[in-house]
Amino acid sequence: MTDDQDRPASEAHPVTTGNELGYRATDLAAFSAFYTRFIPTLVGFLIWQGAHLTDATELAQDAMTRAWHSWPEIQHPEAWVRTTAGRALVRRVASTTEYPVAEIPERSSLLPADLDIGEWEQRHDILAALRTLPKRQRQVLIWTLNDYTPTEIAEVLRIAPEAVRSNLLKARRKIASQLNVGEEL
Amino acid sequence: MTNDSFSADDALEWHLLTKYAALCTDLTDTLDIGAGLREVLIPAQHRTLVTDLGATLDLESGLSAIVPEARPGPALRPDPVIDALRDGSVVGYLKALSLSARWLLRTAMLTTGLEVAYETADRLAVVCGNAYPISPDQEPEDYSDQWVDICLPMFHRWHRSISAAVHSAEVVHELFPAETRDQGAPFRALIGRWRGLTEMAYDVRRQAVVLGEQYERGARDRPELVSEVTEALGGVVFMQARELAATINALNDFVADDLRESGLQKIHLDGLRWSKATSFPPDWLDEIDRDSVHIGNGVFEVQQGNTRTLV
Repeated sequence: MTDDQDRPASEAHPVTTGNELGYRATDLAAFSAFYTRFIPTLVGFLIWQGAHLTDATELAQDAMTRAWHSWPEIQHPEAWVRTTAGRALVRRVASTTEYPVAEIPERSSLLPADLDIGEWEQRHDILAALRTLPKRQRQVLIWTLNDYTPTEIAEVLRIAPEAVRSNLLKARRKIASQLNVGEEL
Repeated sequence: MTNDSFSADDALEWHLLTKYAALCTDLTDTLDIGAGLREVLIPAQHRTLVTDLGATLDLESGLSAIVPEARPGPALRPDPVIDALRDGSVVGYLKALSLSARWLLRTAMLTTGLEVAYETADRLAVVCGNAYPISPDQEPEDYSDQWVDICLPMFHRWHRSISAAVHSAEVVHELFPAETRDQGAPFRALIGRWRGLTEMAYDVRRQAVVLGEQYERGARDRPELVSEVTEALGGVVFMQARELAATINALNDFVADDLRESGLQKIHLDGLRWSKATSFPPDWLDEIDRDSVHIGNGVFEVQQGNTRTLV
């Protein structure tokens, strides 16, 4: 998989972006196209690993915001935001912070105000099946679905390639036994 | 090969086929084919999820939250909303020309009067369509007194400007045969269409002059002048202004074009439309980056005066 299609028109004129006075229109064009094309994949990437839709959109927005601020320096935007958002998810899961009911974060601007999140999640039985998988198997599966090889996944997750293959095999078997047959056939 | 060995080979092949069929039958009963199919379909489930997210998420709001400037702003000139002007044929004919010919045409027409023609026709459309006073601080009843002194010269300026622009297009066609002759059919179609704009401007100007003469000699009073202007000219001038805007936007349309290797001169970039798929010569980039504004659907427009300071 290549990220090259979204590189800015010119890489010879690095300039600080994210400055409300100083953005380059060609950078904005490239970033806008990348954002529009990739944000659904990025949100799906996070949901697949266990993030609630609300959290996934928030983490995806944070990663994209950071990408915009560093846009001229980023060579492979997809990999960059995927890694950034993935690490943020790990940190959030590891955090023991719980939101009191009165302080539940507002939805990100990505989520329409009238979206029934519960109803949306019920449309995808794959999400229920994924919840039966251990975290590592979910990670390996989603990186694979994003066209990463076992060797690349091993490097990202810092595990052995054999562990990647083993987890992938287990994940596929478990998912296949959970999914509803009727909808596919 | 003897008959005996042929029979032995046949028997062996029959035996192998029988065993193979039995193996397949047993596998059909043994394998969990449904589970295997569901496993193969996991990527399809993922794609369905991502596709649904693409349809569900408010991408424009999300992008604007990160980069407010990504929210579309107004274009310099309106794009047609009337079906009659959305036929796209001008853009089609222009895109059939070489990049050099298209750039020559654009530069020639925009710098010799096409933009002035549009601005004048656009103002006249307001005057003729709504009988508004020309100056914001004047009362509507003063409108008719300005018909001869202010409005008629505008009609003249409109006709002169469009004539000059179309003449420059004809000059381009004649003076640069290497770049224009081999695209004869689209060029002729464009010239023909633009000559029609000139003729229409002439006809409207003539009607305006006649109305002015009738008013001056008392053949029409003020209400009659205003009514006749609105009925006879309002709609036509409005349509002509919109067609001029569409023509300028078409001439400025370089979305997805590669402008790097054609030796194009950087003249009058104002109004140029481009997208992420457009490539520019390096020495154009500072101006493009500084002055361009997103106008929607991933299209950017150079609007001089929106200059940003690049840090």
